[in-house]
Amino acid sequence: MEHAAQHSSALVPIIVFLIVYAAITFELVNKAAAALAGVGVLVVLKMTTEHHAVEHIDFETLMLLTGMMIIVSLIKESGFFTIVSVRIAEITKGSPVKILVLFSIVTAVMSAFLDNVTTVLIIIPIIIELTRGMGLDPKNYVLSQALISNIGGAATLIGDPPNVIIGSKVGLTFNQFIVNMTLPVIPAFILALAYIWFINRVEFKPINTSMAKLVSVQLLLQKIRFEFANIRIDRSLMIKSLACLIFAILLFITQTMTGLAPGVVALGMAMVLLIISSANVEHVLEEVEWSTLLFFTGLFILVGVLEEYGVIEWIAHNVFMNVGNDPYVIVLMVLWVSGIISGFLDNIPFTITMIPIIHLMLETNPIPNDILWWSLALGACFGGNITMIGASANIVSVGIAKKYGVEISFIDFIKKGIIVTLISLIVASIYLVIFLRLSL
Amino acid sequence: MSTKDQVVLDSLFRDIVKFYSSSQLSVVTLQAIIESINDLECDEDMFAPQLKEVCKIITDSQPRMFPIDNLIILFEKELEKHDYFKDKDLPTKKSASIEIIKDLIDRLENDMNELANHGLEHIEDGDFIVLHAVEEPVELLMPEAKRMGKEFEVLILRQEAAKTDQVINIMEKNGIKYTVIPEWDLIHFFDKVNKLFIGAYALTSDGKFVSDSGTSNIVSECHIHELPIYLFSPVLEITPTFSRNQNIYLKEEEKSSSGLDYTLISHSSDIISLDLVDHIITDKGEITQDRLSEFCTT
Repeated sequence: MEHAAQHSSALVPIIVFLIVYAAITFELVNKAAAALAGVGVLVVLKMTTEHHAVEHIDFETLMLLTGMMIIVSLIKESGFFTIVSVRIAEITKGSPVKILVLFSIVTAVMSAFLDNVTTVLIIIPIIIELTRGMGLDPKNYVLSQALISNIGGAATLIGDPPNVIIGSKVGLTFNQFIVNMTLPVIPAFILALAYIWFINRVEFKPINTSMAKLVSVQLLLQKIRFEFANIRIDRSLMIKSLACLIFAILLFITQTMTGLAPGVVALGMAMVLLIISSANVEHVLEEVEWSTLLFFTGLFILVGVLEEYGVIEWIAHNVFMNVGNDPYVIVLMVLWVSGIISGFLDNIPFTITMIPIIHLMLETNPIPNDILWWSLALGACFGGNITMIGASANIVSVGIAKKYGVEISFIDFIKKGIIVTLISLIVASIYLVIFLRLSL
Repeated sequence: MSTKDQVVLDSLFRDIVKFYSSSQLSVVTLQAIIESINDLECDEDMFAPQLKEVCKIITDSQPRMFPIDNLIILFEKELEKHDYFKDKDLPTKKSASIEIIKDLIDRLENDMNELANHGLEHIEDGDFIVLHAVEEPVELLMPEAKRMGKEFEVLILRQEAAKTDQVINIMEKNGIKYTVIPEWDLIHFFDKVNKLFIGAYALTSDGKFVSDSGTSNIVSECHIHELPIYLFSPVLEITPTFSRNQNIYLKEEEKSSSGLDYTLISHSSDIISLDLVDHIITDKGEITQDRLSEFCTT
């Protein structure tokens, strides 16, 4: 009787959740506003109390994100990223293949250690400037960097929000992410890059056979050097902020020895940096993406309430656990379902929703070595590449490109994104099957 | 020759002169040619056609830019004298061409130094000088005059943001006192300022000079108010061609503002009569308009 009552009252949180999800997916309102409004409705309708709602928030995730946002904003302010971007542009000497490969490597590495949005915000303007200045079409380069940022971001605990959430909520360490995620990320990166090169190979012809093009590139580099290098470089801040980032990564790596959670490390190092750099705290806090943090907060509560009302358990039993007990099928299903759904819906709420479901799945089918979590992480990160709305970095990249007069349509994105996602998910499938075979 | 290569280079020239004088642009372009010769991979017999193509793109630029235009003509003359080193192997062709360009860079740098030396005579303590774009006076004279301990002030006329920002940057870096006003506010400063310093892209044989867009308005206004106008230009900017052959670039942009759609038309540079200029200062000293052809290098 009580169970039936719980199920019927679960309708309200389900409806609220679906409305919030739709509002986020179709960008009807601001993400944070949608999620928190949903929480407000649940509290007003007494589906939960404000005190109880707060218990669902994963502060570890919020601390990690806030800390990293502060550190990254100060590194950015120091001018470090500008120096790196201009240097890379100089090394490419205008060679289209070098531009693609070197910028992709930088994007992948930066995305692994910083958030993807910051990475594309730094890389996309310079790549547009460089390619357009050479008379090339910047579209393919912009698309490639957005896609690569999502692949690179999958490599570490701090690289992509789904990983931050999984790491914090499940208790997986930075090292575990590096060890288990880098193996599929590297081949996925190489194959995705090879595919992008292959389909655009006509555009990537070498330019060193034309002196006119070489002269233009030299002048263009001069212009880029001037425009980007005119940004103020604060060497003292650069040294301090990079030292704090490196120290934070070292503490992530030694987490099993120190016992310090990544959230504590990130926020702690951010505070140290604020103090030693004497930065204008108000200014730095303006750079923190409060809207993203509030969005996370709202979603944690919404999913927590669904969990409370048994909805998550119902989905786990009736959707995910209906496929039987074969671990290979379960792992691949989680990977591909996560991948496909993340392509069309925001992968952050999806990941938050999936975590309790996977916990329940693991109770009945204990798959070793956290393989199911890697499956979720790989699916959520790689899947974000299917469409323009699949990941924040995609939306931001397309937005910056538009600002620079480069139009990228939904179809333009999907044409490349779907194949790159397919390649990465196939790589991830092979990796997970081998990993599972060795673990069983 | 690829039209695309021409369009790309033209656009780069127009962008770079927003933050460099045309003399500095010329140095940068010659250095770019050296780098390109080093990086070029082609058959021996294709080297000369490649060089000719680059030279043609530069001299056909919109707008034409001097001194680089004249320097390229001198470069080609020198190459022709050696028959483009046609009997030599590729490394020799490359190194010989680079040597010619290096000599041209040295010559231009020397001319710029000379121009600065002559120009310094026209800056005095207490001067309040009007400037508006990154031209030779801004790049060469002001920093040197400040280093020599001359006490003067400049009035920067704000026009396109990129240009004005760079003028301010140069003043800041050199500790020169400055005031920034919108160009249309100059009328309120004629009782304070005592000179206008400008540069040029070219001095043409029909008694005109081509300069940064916006110069014409300022020169006209200063001329009406009898403010002495100084034009600083290396003789390498003097061309035997006419002002109508300067390939002034016309840009048409579709704009939309407050629900109104319109086409904005703008030109890359102004053509102004040298009659409005009081002093033409070159690396050979002050010269008069009627003696321009004597100093023409091509």
